[in-house]
Amino acid sequence: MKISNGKEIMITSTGWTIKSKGGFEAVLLTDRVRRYVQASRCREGCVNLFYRHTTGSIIITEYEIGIMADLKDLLNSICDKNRPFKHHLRGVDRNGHSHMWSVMLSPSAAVTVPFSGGELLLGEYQEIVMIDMQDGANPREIIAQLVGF
Amino acid sequence: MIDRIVIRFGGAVAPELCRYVEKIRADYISNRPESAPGFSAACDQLKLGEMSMDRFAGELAGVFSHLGSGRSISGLWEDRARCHAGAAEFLAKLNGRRPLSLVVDYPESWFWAAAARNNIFEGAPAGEPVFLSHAAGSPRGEEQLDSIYKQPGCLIIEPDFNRAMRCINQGVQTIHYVGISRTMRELDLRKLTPAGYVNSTKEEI
Repeated sequence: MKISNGKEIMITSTGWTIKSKGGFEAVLLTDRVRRYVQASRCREGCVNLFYRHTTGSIIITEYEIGIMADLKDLLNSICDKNRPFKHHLRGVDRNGHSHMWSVMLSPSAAVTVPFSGGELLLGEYQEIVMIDMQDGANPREIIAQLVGF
Repeated sequence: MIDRIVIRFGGAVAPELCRYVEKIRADYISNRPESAPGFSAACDQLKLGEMSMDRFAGELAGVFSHLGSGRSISGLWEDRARCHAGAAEFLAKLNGRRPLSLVVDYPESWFWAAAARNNIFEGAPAGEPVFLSHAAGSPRGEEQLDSIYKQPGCLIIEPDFNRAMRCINQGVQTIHYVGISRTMRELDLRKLTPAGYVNSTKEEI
C-alpha cells in the first residue's frame, strides 16, 4: 500500500514465546520491541503487541518492583485470589483470579506503541511489561504487529 | 537511609544450570551405563562447585562422543559470565562508596572463575561473598538470607522476579535486576549512583 508521499507502508507480524514462571511474573519487553522495530528498518509507524492468553496482560508502566507488588496487591484487594470462583466448579483448573485480574487489565491485553525515527516514543520511565497471572510455569505467546514505513 | 547494598548473583539461572547438569547426567548414563559411576561422580562434583565448568566440559569432551553437551553447558556459563562482565566496573565503584555484600547462588569455583575472568574485584575487593549453592532453597539457606536481608538500611539487588517480590513485600528496599543501565537508573533515583556515571536506558543486553 502506498501513502501520499509515495512511500510504501509495511505491515509485518511476528510471534514471541516468552518463558514465564507465572504467578504474576512480570517480564520486561521493551528491549525486544525496540530491536523488532529497528530490524524492520521502518522509521515511522506503530507496533501493536497482543497477549494471546486469557490470564495475563501487557501493560505500560514504570518498571519498579514496588509498583509490581502494589499492582498485585491492588488486584488482590479488588478480587481476592482465594474467593470461591464459579469458574472452579468446572473442575478443570483453579485460576479464577487469573482470569479476573486479566479482565480487569483487559484494555492492556494489547498495547500500541508509536515510533518515529526508528525509536519507540516511550516516555522516560515507560516500559512495556508482560504480566503472566496464571499459576505455574508456562510458555506465553505474544504477537507483535508493526505498521510503518 | 541505605548503608548496605546486597547484590545477588545467580538467581534463576543457577538452578537452571544444575538442572542442565542433571539432564546431561541422565542422557549420558542411559547411553553409557558402564561409565555411569565415574560420570555421575563428576556431575556431583560440578554441582557442588568442586570441579570447574571448563574442566567438566573438557572431561566430558574426552570421554563422551556427544560433544555438544560439553560445549553447551560451558556456553551457558559463558553467556552468564558475559552479563556479569559489564557489572564489574559498577561493582568496583559502588564498593568504594557503600558497604557491599554479594550473595551467590553459583558454586564457588564457578563464581571465582567468572570473577577472575572479568576482574570483578580488581582494585576494590568486596566483602567475602556468601555462597548459597549448597543451601539454596533449604531452611538453612533461607535463614542465612534472612539474616543478611533483614539488616536495617539494606538495599537488595535481586535478579529473580519472584524473590524480589518477596523481599519488597517484607518491606526491604529492593531492585529487580533487569540489566545494568536500568539498575543504575534505580540507584540514581535513590541517589546511590557512583560519581561520574552517565546513565542511559536506550539499550540493554
